[in-house]
Amino acid sequence: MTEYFPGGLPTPRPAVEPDAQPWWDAVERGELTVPRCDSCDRSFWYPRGFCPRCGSTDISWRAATGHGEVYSYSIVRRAAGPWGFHTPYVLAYVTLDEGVTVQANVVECASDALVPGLRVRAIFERAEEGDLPVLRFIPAGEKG
Amino acid sequence: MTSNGAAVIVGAYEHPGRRLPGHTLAGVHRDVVSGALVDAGLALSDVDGFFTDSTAPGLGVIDIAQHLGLQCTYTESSEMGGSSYVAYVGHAAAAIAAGKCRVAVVSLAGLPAQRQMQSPPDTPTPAAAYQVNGYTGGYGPVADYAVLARRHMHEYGTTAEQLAWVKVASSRHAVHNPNAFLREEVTVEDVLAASPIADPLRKLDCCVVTDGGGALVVVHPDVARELGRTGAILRGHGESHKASMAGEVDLTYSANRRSAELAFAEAGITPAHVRYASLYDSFTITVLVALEDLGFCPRGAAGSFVEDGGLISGSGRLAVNTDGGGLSNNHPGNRGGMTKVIEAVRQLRGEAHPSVQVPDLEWAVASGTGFRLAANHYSSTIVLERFA
Repeated sequence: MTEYFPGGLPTPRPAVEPDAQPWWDAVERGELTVPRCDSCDRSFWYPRGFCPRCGSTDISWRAATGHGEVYSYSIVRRAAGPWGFHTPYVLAYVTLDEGVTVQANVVECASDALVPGLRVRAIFERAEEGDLPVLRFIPAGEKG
Repeated sequence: MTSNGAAVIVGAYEHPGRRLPGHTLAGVHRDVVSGALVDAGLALSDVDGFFTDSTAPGLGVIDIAQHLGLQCTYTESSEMGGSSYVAYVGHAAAAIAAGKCRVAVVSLAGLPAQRQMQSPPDTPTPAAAYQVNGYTGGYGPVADYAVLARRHMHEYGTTAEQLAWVKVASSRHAVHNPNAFLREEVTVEDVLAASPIADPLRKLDCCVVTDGGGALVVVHPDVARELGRTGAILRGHGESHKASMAGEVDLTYSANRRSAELAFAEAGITPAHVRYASLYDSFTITVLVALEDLGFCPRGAAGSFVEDGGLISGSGRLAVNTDGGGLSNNHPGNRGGMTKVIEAVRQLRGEAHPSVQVPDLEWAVASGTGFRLAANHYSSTIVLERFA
């Protein structure tokens, strides 16, 4: 039986560290950036104002392609709080073409398409006015 | 300074209760500390070291130590989730070797089924803005381990049937444990027929939620010799953190790999010497990854290692969690590390149930992981030798 996992998942407002503000500013413009350390010249995740490998604060907020592939996933069928109203939904790790692996939901996706290696692209969802946009992914072939 | 030979576990006590209405955390701490001291043949006034986690009532260890009547020269309340109690054995040994204390008690109490457990402070972490499935709530521990299981299946061809064998083995052991929360033997078919929680994990791939706790008495070897009680001498101890690796996520191994490497190196033995292992079993997949990380089987081979009863004492490849583990016996306070150490001590003393006792056991390991294996987590591993 094919299941379909729609968008519209909750988007609770996170606590934002001030040094990651450039990432959130880009998100407000609808852009996905991946922080890159100018000292060791490597991307890292999650966004911080310093490199977790070498400690450098020389960080570039590089525009990402938004494309990547599913590294692993689970179809969540029981969940607590507001998420309980949205089961089943998909929790995944997605490896961006920039090389970092991020945790996010995959939405607007059918169960028979869902495999490690599925090509996906980034979208932002905002369920409520005042929420910050949340990074999510849809299958690369979908119009989002 | 080495942990090898620095301390002996001479007391181990598991609270017999699994549903404890009317109990308090302080009361359970009192019950288990008392039980472990009786087991060791020591008195409250002998205790000069105390270790417990951040869920104890009051500020750190200070309030609970007062309540218990302890006057310590060394205390610790560091928080490493379910792995804490395995780590505390190593920390107690280090404190004993440094002359800071001679008789240390490690305690765990939890009442999750009574909704009385004080959780660690729920302060959002910086990572939470980008992880945890949209920050809060929707991402329970089952989903985290499910993502890990899916990757293991994808990389190595591990099957749901193989995961189920871990539960089957635990249930075969729990049949012999009168205190086990689930005492009914289950089959692979039963596990596969259970309701899905987060694919590919089903209800019977998950550990039990139980009230209760346990305690250990860890002492200087001179104290142990005077007591004349059998026990388990610490031969190796290792810990490790594994984080989200700056975005280079690799879910095929856990922090156990490093912690076990350190513990085995300190003990000077290899997994081939070990015929009993207490492996953290919050979920069936947790055991598979631990078997590979501790070196009991090659990477990717844990599925075939556990199938056809591979973990059943007596007939399997390695006796694992002979008390029934977290999957069938007990996972007090949602923290499995304490019961892992306790069953390893029972095995080394020859005090496990005769049906599951490994004969003439010399070496055992206990390993625990804390928090979420597909994300930020911590691991502790200890190698123990029979002390008589």
